[in-house]
Amino acid sequence: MAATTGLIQRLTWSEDVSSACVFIGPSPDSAEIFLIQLRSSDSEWVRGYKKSMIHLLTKAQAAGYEVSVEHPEDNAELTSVTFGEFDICPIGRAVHNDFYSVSGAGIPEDAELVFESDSVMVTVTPDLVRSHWVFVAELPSAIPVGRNMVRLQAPGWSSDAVPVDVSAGPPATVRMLYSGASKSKPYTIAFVANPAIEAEAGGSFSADPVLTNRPGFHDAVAYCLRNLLTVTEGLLRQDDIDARIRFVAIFDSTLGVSDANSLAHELNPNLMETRRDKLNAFLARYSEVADVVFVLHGSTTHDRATAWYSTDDAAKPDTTYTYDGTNRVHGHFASIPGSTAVPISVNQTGLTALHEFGHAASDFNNGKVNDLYVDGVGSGFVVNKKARAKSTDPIPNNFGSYQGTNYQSDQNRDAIGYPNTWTSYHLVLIDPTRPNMMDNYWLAFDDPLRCRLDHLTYDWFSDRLKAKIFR
Amino acid sequence: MEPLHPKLREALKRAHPDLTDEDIDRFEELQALRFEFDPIKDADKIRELDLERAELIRRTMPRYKEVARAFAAQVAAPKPRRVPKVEIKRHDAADE
Repeated sequence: MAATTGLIQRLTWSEDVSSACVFIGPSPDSAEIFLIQLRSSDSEWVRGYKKSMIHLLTKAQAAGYEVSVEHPEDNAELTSVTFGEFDICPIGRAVHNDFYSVSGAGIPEDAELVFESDSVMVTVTPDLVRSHWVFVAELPSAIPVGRNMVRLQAPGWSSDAVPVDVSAGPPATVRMLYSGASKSKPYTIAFVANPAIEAEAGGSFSADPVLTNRPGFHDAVAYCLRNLLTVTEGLLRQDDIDARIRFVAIFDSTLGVSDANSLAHELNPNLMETRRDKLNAFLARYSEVADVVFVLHGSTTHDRATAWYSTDDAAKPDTTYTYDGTNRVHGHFASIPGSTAVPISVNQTGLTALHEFGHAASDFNNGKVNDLYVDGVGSGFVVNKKARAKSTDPIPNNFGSYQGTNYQSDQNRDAIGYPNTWTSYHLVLIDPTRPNMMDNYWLAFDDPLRCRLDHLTYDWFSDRLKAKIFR
Repeated sequence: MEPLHPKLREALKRAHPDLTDEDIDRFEELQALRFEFDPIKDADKIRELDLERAELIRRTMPRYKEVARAFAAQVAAPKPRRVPKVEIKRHDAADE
């Protein structure tokens, strides 16, 4: 059996002899000609196999993929067709000024994207690099429209080059940024450009300026992803669990002002909250289901971010755990996703996206992760804060137990200190020199992006996220 | 809820000379507490907290919005938009 590898220069179908004719080689002038003939004597199985080979050749020609074909030494009739395997995978269409992602494995953190066409080579520094994912917030328009070969490269390392067709537009309405685990319902974080805003008083709506600022939306999504996946707190990237998380962005500039399209509500004096009861129906229009939704908005008057916890679906499977000896559950699915309203003007020196995710990914019934910069503990089951009877009572050494392990209290609240009127107290920190990321991270002595969680909340959250991610 | 930036706290106190840290802390606590209630099940409790917040603003920080907007504009102003670094090499130039 002989084998030939190369690009498909031409593929034709001859009705007269029921044959596909394929030209394979480095150029149209130096290509070998092969055949796949459908004969009346072929069994149904053989006929189906030959049609599959033709289908594969058609796909490979359209994508510009190199193929390997096998045929007998003495004739040109093909017996097999295979694609070469690539070690990277571009995600979605390559469109100027739209998001662009490439997935792979073992990608170095200094990897760059290289687009090569007949005329130029364009190197793009990504906005985010993980070992399995490279993300660009806006594909530069300097990349020529048409066929390019894209690869990832870093000093001493390069991926395969994959053919992609770059277009000038339009950008996608729904863009999968990363596919996550290959399962029907992977844990999903959605970034939505909010179409309309409900006014403080309620009942009246106006267009959200974010829909006329697509670059601002892309910039905010990139900030959120860096905050979630690259800051010192590695909750979401431990054991590379983020490789199993699906990320999707929705920007639908065609939407008008309506109750159903308003996912954000202004709150006196400068807060914005999500309208959590609208989220499932909104996402369903795009065939999306999310566990956590970032509602990104363009308000400059109500620009303080807030979040609502998730509501786990009690009718679906869960994972049990014990907290202070009480049996509780991590629900695997949400009936209402956790959500946060974040302005696209968000101060990117802060930990706002990860902090709000900390609220949103916790749960109304199965454990709330609360703000630590205020005293009150509130009602229900709070994971990360407790209160003494009186502010003069000593802070107990032992905060509580999770899964049978005891966790200590934070006697000092890092360098901030507990005001002497406070009754509440917190858990011992992973980094005792900086505020908890659920506390006032703006008070970090150096860089808010270096704040982390406490030990118990980290362990509780790890288990909660893994229960959902591996569901 | 995003924590109060210490510079905004100072700006609020400058704009309201009688305002105390305790007033601000009480306001912050009410705001945080509001988000612990389910807006679908506990709408009445949230409304009650919103009225209390509004009263506290009216009484102690009537210029809150104005100060917060000025602070936001100040924070947003110097932020350069992040653009990916792009390097372009022409094949014909490389050949020369």
